[in-house]
Amino acid sequence: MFNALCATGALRITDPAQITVHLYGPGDRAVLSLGRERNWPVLLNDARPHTYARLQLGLDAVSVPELLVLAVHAGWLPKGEALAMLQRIGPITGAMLMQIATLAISQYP
Amino acid sequence: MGKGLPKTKRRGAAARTPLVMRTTAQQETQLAQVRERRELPTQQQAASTALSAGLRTLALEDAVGLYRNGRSLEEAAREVGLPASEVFEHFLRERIPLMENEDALSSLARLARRYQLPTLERAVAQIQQDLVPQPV
Repeated sequence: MFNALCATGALRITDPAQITVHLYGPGDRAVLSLGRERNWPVLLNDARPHTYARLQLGLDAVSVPELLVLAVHAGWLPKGEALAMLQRIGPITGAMLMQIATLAISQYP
Repeated sequence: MGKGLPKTKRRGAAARTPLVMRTTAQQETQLAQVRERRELPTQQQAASTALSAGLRTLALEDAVGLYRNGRSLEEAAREVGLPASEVFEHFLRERIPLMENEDALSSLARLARRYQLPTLERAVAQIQQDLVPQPV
């Protein structure tokens, strides 16, 4: 999905001007720094940097389940495909997040 | 003079001799040696592959341990020297929870308000009514 969204121009790859967050791995640090720098929502799957983004940096943070909801909302992804993707990541997704994402996607025609 | 062929030619003739004299038995012995030499690297390669697979498994287990002790997945992967994608796949196989956001609904509601997405806002409001509490 990431590659497809990049190809359509819905997503583009960019880097922060400066790394201002010095926690977690280099990818986590880059995402958190970029989000902080531009006040952009950040996509983080790992619950720890995700929580840090929300609670410490005050950023809007989403993980793949929430991104799937947004993708269906934006019309980037058909509902059926999004639900199938959600099922695939089910084993690593918390029960509450799974339920919310499933319900949210199901709201769309 | 008169002692036969020049030295170089004699050496050439001596080198050719075993080829001429080689018996079927010698050929078989040589073939067996060649086979042995060919099998040895295969066995070494198999042992090396098994070792590498074993080390990978250990590294993945270490990554899980590091993650459970508070590292992020990416940090844990770097520490054990594996790509994060491989550790992610391992988490998926082993059903190790990675994504959780108890406030996912609030996050979605915030995004809906911030980007003025009324359909999403309505969806979130509906979910709030339908949500079933989940065991922690």
